[in-house]
Amino acid sequence: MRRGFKAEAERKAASARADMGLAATDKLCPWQYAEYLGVLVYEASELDLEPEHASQLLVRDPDSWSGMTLLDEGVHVVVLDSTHLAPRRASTLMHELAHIILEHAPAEVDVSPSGLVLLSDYSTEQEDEADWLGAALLLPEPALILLRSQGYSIEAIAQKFGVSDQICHWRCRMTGVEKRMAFRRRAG
Amino acid sequence: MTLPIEQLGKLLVRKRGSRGIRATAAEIEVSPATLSRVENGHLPDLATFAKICRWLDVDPARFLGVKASGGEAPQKRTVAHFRKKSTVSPETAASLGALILAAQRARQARAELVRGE
Repeated sequence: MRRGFKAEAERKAASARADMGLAATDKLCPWQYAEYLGVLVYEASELDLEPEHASQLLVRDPDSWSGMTLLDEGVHVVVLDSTHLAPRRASTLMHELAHIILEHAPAEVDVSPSGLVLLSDYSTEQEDEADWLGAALLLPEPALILLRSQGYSIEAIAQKFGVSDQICHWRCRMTGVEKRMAFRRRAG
Repeated sequence: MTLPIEQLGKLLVRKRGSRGIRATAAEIEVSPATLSRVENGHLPDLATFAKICRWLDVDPARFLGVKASGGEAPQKRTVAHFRKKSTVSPETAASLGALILAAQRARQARAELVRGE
């Protein structure tokens, strides 16, 4: 990850909350934030998808994908896998919004003559950045420090912010909040 | 002449011949698992696709059926990105393609609704 990106991501996450009129420790709802950014969000099950394709993506092979972002005539559209639980959809949506905020440009999609699609990707660097910013938008560092010092468990914080335990553990570890808590416990 | 994308795996198998999958994957700079999946008909992402085409010495445009001169205005083009596994089955790839079209229809319908108000 490029030098200074992590601090930049924390600043972007803090200003996103300020823009939405939220306190630094408040939960930022990904769906409300998408609306604020002018991004359209659909669940795959809401779309007018042919039955064979709906069945392929939502019944037979739902674990092969979690989301899609489309830039169509200047409008961003995010489609989420409706079979995934709400915490996972929240994480997917915030990750996709992070790509949009960071103005990452994926390779373009080309449809082969047989109708098959070659799937574009962001670079690993861009994926890492979106992971970091997405998690910072979901779980603000000041809230993690405050709630952990008040004795909230990671699972309780995850539930409060509508995210998975896994991402909350990752965020507490990566921001150094857990280390600070351990240091405090030893000092106290 | 345009090659069907389904031929990608067959071309790989043919060129690899009796050589091991690990050695070939290392030469292409993809993982052995990815190479194996593509040989078995799964579709690669664009980065892998580009590496495979380079190794096969085939112009990617032959698979894509892309015209050399793109006269379309850049803002008219649609760009899509999937958060997904690194390779997917041809059936899922076709359905993800249909998902792009369904999302475009939803956006257009919404834009018409907003204009109509």
